[in-house]
Amino acid sequence: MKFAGLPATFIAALVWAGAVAAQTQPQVYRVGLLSVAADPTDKSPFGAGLIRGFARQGFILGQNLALERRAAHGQLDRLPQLVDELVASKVAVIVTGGYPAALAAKRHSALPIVAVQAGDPVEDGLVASFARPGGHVTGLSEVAAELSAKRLALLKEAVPSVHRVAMLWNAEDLGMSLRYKAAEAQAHSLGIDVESLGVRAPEGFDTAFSAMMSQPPDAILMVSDVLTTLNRKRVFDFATQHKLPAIYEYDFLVRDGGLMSYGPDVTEMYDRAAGLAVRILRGADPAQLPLEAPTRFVLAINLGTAKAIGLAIPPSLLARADDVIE
Amino acid sequence: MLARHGIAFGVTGAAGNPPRRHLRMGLAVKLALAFVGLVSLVLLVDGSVAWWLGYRAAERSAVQMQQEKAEDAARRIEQFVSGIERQIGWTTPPQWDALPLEQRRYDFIRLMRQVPAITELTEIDGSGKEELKLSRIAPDAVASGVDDSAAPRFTEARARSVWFSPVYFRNMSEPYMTIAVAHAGRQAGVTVAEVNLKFIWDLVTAMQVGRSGYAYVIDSHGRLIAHPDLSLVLRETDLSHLPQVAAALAGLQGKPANRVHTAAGPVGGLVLSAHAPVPPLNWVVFVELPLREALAPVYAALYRTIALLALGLLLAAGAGTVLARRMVVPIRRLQSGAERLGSGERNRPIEIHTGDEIETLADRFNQMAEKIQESHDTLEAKVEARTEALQAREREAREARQAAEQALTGLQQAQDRLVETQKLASLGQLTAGIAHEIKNPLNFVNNFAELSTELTDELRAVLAAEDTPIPDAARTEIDDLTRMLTGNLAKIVEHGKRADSIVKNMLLHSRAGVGERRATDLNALVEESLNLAYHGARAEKPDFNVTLRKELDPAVREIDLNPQEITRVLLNLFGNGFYAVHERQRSGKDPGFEPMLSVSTRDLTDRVEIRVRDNGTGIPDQVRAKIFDPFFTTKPAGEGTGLGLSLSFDIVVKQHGGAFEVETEPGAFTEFIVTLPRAMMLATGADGGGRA
Repeated sequence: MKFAGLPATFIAALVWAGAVAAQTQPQVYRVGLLSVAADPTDKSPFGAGLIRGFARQGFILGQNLALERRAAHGQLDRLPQLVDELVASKVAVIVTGGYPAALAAKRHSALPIVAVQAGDPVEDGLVASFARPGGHVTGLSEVAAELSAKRLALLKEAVPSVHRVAMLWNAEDLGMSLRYKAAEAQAHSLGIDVESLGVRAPEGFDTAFSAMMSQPPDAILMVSDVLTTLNRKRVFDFATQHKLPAIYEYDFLVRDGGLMSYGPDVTEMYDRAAGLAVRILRGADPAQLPLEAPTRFVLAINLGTAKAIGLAIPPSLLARADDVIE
Repeated sequence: MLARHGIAFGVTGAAGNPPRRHLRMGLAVKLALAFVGLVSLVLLVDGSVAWWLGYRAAERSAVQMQQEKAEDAARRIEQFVSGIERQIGWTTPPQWDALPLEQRRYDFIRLMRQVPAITELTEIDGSGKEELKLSRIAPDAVASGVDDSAAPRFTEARARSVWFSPVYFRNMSEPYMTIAVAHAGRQAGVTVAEVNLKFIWDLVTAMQVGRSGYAYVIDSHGRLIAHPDLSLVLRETDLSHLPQVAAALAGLQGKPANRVHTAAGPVGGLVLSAHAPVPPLNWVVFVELPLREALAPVYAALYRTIALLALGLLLAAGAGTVLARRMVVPIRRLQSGAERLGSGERNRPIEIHTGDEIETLADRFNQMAEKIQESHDTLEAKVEARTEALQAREREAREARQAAEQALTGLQQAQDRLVETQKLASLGQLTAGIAHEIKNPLNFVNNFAELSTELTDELRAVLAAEDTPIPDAARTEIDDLTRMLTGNLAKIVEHGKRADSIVKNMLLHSRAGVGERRATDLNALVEESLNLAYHGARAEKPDFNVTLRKELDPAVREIDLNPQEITRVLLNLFGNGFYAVHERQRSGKDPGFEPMLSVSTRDLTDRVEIRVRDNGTGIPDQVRAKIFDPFFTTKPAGEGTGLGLSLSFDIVVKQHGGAFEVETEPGAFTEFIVTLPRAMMLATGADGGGRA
């Protein structure tokens, strides 16, 4: 009997040592990434911005930070399942890219969500208000509706003769519809008529293109979402083919061959989103975290594309451009 | 006071009657307490002083560190704002308003490129009309015609050349401030920049103050404009009630105010607070660190001190206990020794070898114990002697009493014997008288009866002669008559002789003490008598048979006695015994009965004892009381005179001063015990008494 306690003591010591070892190891925070489009790799604006933002706050990927990445690649019906996977992998917070992703995450989990590129979250109903989002979603507003008018203005500045602008947008996406409506409302003060070309599926682009063929617009404004982004090449080709000036929302589209873009710095938005996520990881209640707005806006111009369509960009616009691609 | 007095009295009362065994506070405890108290006092004082100094130093250095951080932040905010202001200065030289629109537009574009924080730039002309507006979010506007002539951004800027608006929030979430700079020159316009202050938020949020410290910024009204908790800022929290904020605001207005270093933070909890003003804006940057964290090293030192104190206390307690034990153990030993002494155990000395006063005290104790032991021993010896004397006296008294009791018993026996003797003596005298009177007529009866027998014989002889002429019939009748006469006469002679024998015995009875005494071998006498008796019995009853046993003690030797008389006694006893065994045998109740008679003598130094025992019929109780009475007999008429035992008693008791006792069990045995004294003192006395 005297020795019966010995193994128990030994085991207790082991357990204690294990507990100590576990304590001395830094806690690893798990963050879920949910993208409606491509994978949020380390190089993508989504991944790079987040990693940079986390790192600035002391959360280093691979050390005390683990990212669970999921991408729907445009298949929106897969989003709920991806959300479930993230929940199952026990992430503490989900950062979403795109309005459908934010909506799916909000509906299919109770985890704190930092929504990025979700348009105007207040208007599309993701959150209650900027100052007090309520619920479990916070994030960044894109001030997208306002910017649509700004984009039309920039288009007009680039090509002062622009009168009719065809607006390509995903009619399935509520956020996009809002942008369209805001743009249409402001267009008149700029002397522009907006022609709505809502697209619901990849096949819809053919319809839109043929509509543009029959009644050629002066320029194109493409509202960015997963559908339009995935089919961007077709839009670029169509615009070049028909020598139509076009403006997009994000600078990466210009680097891919778009003429010009104006919109918030995506990388910076994810950077800020990381800041929000960190505060949630540190115990803040997302309902109490005010929505943030982007502070940097990027005007990008692809001079190659301009040359291809025979367009001379006015110097004042070039002076204003943050990113000029030769 | 009354109650306290009451308690005091109560305590005194209790203390006045303390328990003897359990001390209220032992010497060891007192010593240990004193030791512990001293050490802990020293440690406490030292620790407290060190801690207080450390506390002050830590507080000072923490506040200084925070102060530096606050000043650094204030400087950066100031640089941020003054930088913007300076940049805006590009658009405010004299005659700038007169530049072509395109030029002014370029300047604005350049300004916005230079200063990312500027979200919107507006040029207001000298009359307050909006001339040009560039925005990062909204479409640009040229000569929109908006009238700002009454707006503060125009009037204030014109009045002070630079105007900073209060902080406001776009979309209720983005902090903004309007910086309006008046152009140089008369009736000049104003350049208005809407500046995103998120830079300040980021600055404040990112400030690392210790582990859990934080920074925040208030405007000149005490309203929170930057804080890590943005919701506090967006709620436009007023912090002017906080003492450190109030003091800082007073300082801004040039009023003398004491710096508050320790106060409650905006979110509660005690903090160390430092602040620095941002001069152009009249903002104040606060840097606060929770007191708990700021003073963590001090508290660590405090815990160290407490641990040291505890250790010191432990050591002191240990040392105190050891010291106290070294002192108290001998005292305890002394105490227990004294208690032993008190309880009477004086032979174990108290052993203390401490070489100090206590040892001396113990030696004194031992000496005292020895003295007490000595006097105690003396006392015990005396008590023992007295006890012995007392016991001896008691023994003597007991012996005397026993002697007296013996004497009394003897006296009673003697008295009994005397009474019996007296009784028998008077009876003897009476009998002697009667016998004498009867003897003469009896002699006549006997003599004449014998004479008549002879005469009858003669008569028959005469008649028998043939010559006597008597008819034959008469002759026969005469013969019968004479024969009857002879028979009658024989009966008279026989009974006369018996009567004569009775009378002779009666005379013998009365003739007590007569006869000579001489030294006689008792054993020989017994043997002789037994033989005589046995043969007599055999002669009388030829079928009689008995087993005889003799145990004669040779130590009996010669005794001074009257042999004839004693022989009579013995013959009487033996005859009785033979009769008894014969009677028992004759009754036939016991088929295997062996008649037996034993006789034994025994020397009892001053006396001899003769026991005659038979296994005959025994003597019933009602008979036993009368056996020594004269004329009492159980034998059938004509076989005993009833005087045998009576005479024997007389001979043994009266003549020889002995004792005559009988033990018997009916149907089993009878034993007569005759005790005869060797000397004749008592017998002579008894004789004398008898004669008197």
